[in-house]
Amino acid sequence: MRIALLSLLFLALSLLAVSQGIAIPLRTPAPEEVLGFLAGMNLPPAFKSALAEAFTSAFATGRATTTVTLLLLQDLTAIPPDKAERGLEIIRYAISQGFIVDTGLSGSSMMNEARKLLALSRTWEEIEYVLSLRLNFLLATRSTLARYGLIQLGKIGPDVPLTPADRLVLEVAWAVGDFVLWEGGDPGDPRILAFVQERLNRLCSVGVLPAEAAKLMAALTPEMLQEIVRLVFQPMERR
Amino acid sequence: MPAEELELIQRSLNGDLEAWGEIVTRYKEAVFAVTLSILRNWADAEDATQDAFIRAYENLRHYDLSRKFSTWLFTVAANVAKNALRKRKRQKEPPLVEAEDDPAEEVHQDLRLAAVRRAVADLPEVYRMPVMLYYWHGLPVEEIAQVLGIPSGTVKTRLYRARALIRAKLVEEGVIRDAVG
Amino acid sequence: MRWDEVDELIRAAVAKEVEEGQKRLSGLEERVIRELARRPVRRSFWEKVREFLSRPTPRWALVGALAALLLGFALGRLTAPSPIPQWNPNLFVIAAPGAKSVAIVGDFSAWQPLPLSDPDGDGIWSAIIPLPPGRYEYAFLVDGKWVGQDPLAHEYLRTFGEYVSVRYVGGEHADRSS
Repeated sequence: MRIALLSLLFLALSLLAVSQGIAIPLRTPAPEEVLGFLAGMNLPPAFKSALAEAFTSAFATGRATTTVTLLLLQDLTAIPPDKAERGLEIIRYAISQGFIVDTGLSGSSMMNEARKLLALSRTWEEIEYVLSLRLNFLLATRSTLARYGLIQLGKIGPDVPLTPADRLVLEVAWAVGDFVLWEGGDPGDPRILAFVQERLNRLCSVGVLPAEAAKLMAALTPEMLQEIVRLVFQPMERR
Repeated sequence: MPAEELELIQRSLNGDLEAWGEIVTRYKEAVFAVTLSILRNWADAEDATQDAFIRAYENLRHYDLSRKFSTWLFTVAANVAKNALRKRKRQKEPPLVEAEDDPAEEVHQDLRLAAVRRAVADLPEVYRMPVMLYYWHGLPVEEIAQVLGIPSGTVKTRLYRARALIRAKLVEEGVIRDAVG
Repeated sequence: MRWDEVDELIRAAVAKEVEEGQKRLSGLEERVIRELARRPVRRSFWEKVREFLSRPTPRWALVGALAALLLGFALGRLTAPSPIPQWNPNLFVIAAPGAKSVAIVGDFSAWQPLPLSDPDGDGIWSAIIPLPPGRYEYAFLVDGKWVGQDPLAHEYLRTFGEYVSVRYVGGEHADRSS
């Protein structure tokens, strides 16, 4: 009986697909498939091994998804290995610092943005540049929010389970970055606060951020956000 | 991409001339190479280099931080040099030749090298900039295309032709034999 | 002579060319800084506007300025958040009469193109894409050309100068859908 119902459901869906064009979701590969693909790429063995370790932790803790990662790796085979390595190193480093680098099929993060920029036919040099800026935004946001007591900084690392603070850091960093990079906003412009708060509000309303985020949003000030931008454009101790 | 360079740019945007001076130090040689390729003599290239850094500073607000800085800077320099070239042509000055160094030194120079330098200087205008950006700056074709605002295919074609022209010149002057080996 | 030898000669020749001119560059930093310090301070756009408004100006100049301001507001509206439409947030639709193929790229497809369809050939292309709650950036590709401004979007971003549309799905947005 259940099979009959399921078949009817599939039939109905496919009919609907013909008439209205429902998109078929992407396949979700297993982590082994992604790591296997990585192993076959033309990159230095030591680097591949470090990257594989990072991705394994990222998949296990939810800092990256196999779907987007595999697609990005596949695209990188078309790029000279030394350039691909530089971009992937930024991602590897971000994972090692405990950041979310891929939010899957929604939201923005490093790997989603790289895919978007590839769809826009930007060069890998430009993508790498943007990735390095985004990494700096993540680092600056986390340290600034912690310094002002808006989040608690616990243990940091790729294997540490994600907390709501991790998503919060990502979304604040992304909003500030969008304002400065894509909107061409002057960090000194007080509208930066409204821009970030509106973004966080909307993310709360669709359940991407928990309700507790409202407390943090209320505590944000333009000075905090400017501090983040200032830190991004200063030399940072990376290694 | 050096984060400290971004800091220098940010400080320059805030009016810190010392920070801009640091940028000048880092890029003056590269910008000079760009202006030299267009203007073909050192005195004009030096003036254009100075003007390029002044123009770039005044237009720094229009620089898109997400783009590569050197590409933008070279584009500004190329525009400044091209304007200077147009002005020079309008004023109908006699074409300025490279200031010759101490003639005695020429004897010590590799004669082949001197011939290549002449060949490069004699290239049609549209070839000289790609040649400089490729052979001196070592930029990849895509970046050259961005600086010049032309398709990558056109850059490649110009580089091939420039190289062929230079080679033909060397054969013509008897500097090399035309045995492709 | 091999081509790579020619390349080497060219490399050496241009290097020599630049090297010999370089002594002229010593002290360039000081000259640039001195010249910039000498020039009048750049006033910010708002300072210039304030100054302009405080001076008596011919009427036609005021009309021109007003037109420019209105244009600025109109352009600004494009990036202002639009009211959430009373609409199925999973429906993506674009008018593209005469187009041969229309696709959509976005976060939900990892930026791979998903085709839209126009079954009755009236130039309105659409697709329903079931989306879990979240924030989605996307754009249309009309005959391969990037079209980033969807009137049904909740907000817009620009990336390297190209528009990208944004939708929020779920939560209070779901409640408003028909």
